[in-house]
Amino acid sequence: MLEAVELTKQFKQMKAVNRVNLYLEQGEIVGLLGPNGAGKSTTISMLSTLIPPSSGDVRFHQKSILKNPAMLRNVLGIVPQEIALYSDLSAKENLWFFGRIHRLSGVQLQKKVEEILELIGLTDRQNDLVKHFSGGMKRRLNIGAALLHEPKLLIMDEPTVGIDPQSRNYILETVKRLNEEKQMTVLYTSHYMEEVEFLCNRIYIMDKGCIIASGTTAEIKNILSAEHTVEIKVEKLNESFLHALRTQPVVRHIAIQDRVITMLSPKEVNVFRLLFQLAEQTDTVLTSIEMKTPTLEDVFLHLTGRALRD
Amino acid sequence: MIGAFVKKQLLLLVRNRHEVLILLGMPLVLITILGFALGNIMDGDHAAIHAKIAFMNEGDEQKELQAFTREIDAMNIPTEKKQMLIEAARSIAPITVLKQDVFGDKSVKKYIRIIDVPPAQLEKVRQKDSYAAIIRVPNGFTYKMLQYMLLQKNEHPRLFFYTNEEKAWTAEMVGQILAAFQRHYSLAAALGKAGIANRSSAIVDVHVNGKMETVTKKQPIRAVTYYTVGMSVMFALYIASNVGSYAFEEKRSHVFDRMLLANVSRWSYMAGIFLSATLLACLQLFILYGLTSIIYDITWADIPAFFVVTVSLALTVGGLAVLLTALNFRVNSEQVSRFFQTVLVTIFSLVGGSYFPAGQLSDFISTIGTLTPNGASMNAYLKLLQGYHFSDIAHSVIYLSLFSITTLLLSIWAFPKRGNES
Repeated sequence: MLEAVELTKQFKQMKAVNRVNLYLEQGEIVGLLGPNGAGKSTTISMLSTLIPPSSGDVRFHQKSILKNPAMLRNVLGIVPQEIALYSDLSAKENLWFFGRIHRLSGVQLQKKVEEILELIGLTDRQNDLVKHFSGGMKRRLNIGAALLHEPKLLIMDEPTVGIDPQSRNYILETVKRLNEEKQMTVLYTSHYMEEVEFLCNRIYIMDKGCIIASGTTAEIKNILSAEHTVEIKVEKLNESFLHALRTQPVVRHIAIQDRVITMLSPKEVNVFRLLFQLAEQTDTVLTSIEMKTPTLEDVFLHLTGRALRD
Repeated sequence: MIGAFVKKQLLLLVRNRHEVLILLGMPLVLITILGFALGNIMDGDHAAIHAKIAFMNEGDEQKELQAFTREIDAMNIPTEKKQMLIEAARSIAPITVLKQDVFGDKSVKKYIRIIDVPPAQLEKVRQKDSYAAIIRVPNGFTYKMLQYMLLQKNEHPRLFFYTNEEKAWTAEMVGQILAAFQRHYSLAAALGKAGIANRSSAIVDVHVNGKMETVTKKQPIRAVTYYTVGMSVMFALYIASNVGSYAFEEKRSHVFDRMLLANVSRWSYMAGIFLSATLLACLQLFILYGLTSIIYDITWADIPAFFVVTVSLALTVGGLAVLLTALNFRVNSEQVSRFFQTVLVTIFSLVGGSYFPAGQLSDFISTIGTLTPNGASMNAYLKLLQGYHFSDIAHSVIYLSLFSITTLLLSIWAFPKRGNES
């Protein structure tokens, strides 16, 4: 349905996106994962025809849309990371305006606005000004504004940033429902691994402008099939313990958060014995050691040596 | 779809109380302050105006005084009474009183300069824009005045004031001087009369009659009227920067991206901006002029011409709004709108005459002023208020329309072709 071929974007000296190849099949939800600054938003802007690529191509049903973007735009809905709404208009007025610019009018527009308000759960608040909405409500309306013209393809750029868990769940369920009930194709970018794991059939992982891994969720996790993810909790962080860990050839990719140390190690290594030894040598009190099933977060750690939200 | 843009813009503005206050409340406050408080100051001690008044004496006061003295001498009255009348005549010689006591007064002299001009040059001076007024004293004025005042002979004579309606302040100023002269003269005459009364009861009453007319026989402009026009046209310009800022906010918040993705062409977008700003400027001007007609009794005799000027100005504001939007988008910043609002509008207002009739400072500033949209529309509005015909302001209307077209063409050039716009 939609394909990026060797897509590159250069801003002066900086290559924001470097030879990205990806595709979306009709009816699937594809995740684009990566930390802030990975190049996800720039990739999305090129895919949605908002900025032209420096090189490469974007194809919609095998046809380049660089010269004729209208073909894609007619079936494309985009949910930007920013709240792209008028805060001094009500929810209904916003939807009415965005419906009008999509050339909806009369009864058709009225019905569509009501339908979207129902879908995003804002029927009761339709006449309230957006500036009085919570972050979650604004995010829901931000999605609703992209759905008025019944797009076949929905591109969502981190649609759950900065909202409460309840609103996040509502949004995720809504996206799932749109995909299942309306066979809407979705490109979903996030730096929340759990969202992508919950929603997506396939995943692309981006870092520093490049795609560093791609495949189904299972395929991606298989990258770590030969390794354990070990989560160690210590009573107090000890520099000599960390130093000792880092010098071990079997220990890879150490990430530290508060008093929790996450690391990868080969499955054949008896990591417990090693950890107890090092703890004893460095006078470190271990409060727990947990062997975890690898997550996408761990995959990112494995691929880049950095945690996703670093 | 353009209707949707206009409706959206109206709703956004109406919901923003701060903007409404600036666009409607502020000009009303300034009209009141400047029209009354500052208007009086400008007419009085603190005027920033130095008006030139041409003084044309067609007669000769000394000779007329001598003729009056001879007439008294020839009269069959006691010598003592004759002496008193002659002394009274000398002390209330009207031209001397007017020139020395009224225009020679320190407080008046600071702002008004009397220039003696030969009567033969009347027409030439009337053509000159640099004189704020002309005072013409007809031949025999002094003689007739003394006869009327001291001997109760003849009708009271008239002298003529011609004011330049282009210099609205001085229309009022000259009127005030005339009144001051009358008061001053009446007082001097009353004193003379009191002195004479001991010896003679011949002098009953004195007063000076002045006839005031403008150079082209048009109505002079009151200060409050002047500022109603000045402030209204100035604040209409703020609509342009306001709409330009709103448009940039649409870009910043990515709402403009939604429009691009909805295949809204830049033509439709620019048309929406243009019509919104034009409509808002029209509404603002109609509300301001409507309110001032109720509050300050400023009425428009030629309503169709008033509509034409208002719409022309509103179209200019619309053009400026599109240009500011295009430039904001081009430099990817709201700075252009802000610069226009804080610097350009101030300069336009200053040279265009919104704060005071800057055209009086020099012919150069006067010319530059009429090239600003507010100056051109002020010129048209003030002439309408003075009773001019539409044909007299047609050039201003044409200029405003051309200004609007030019800004639209510049906008088309400046508006960035963003992304893969269809």
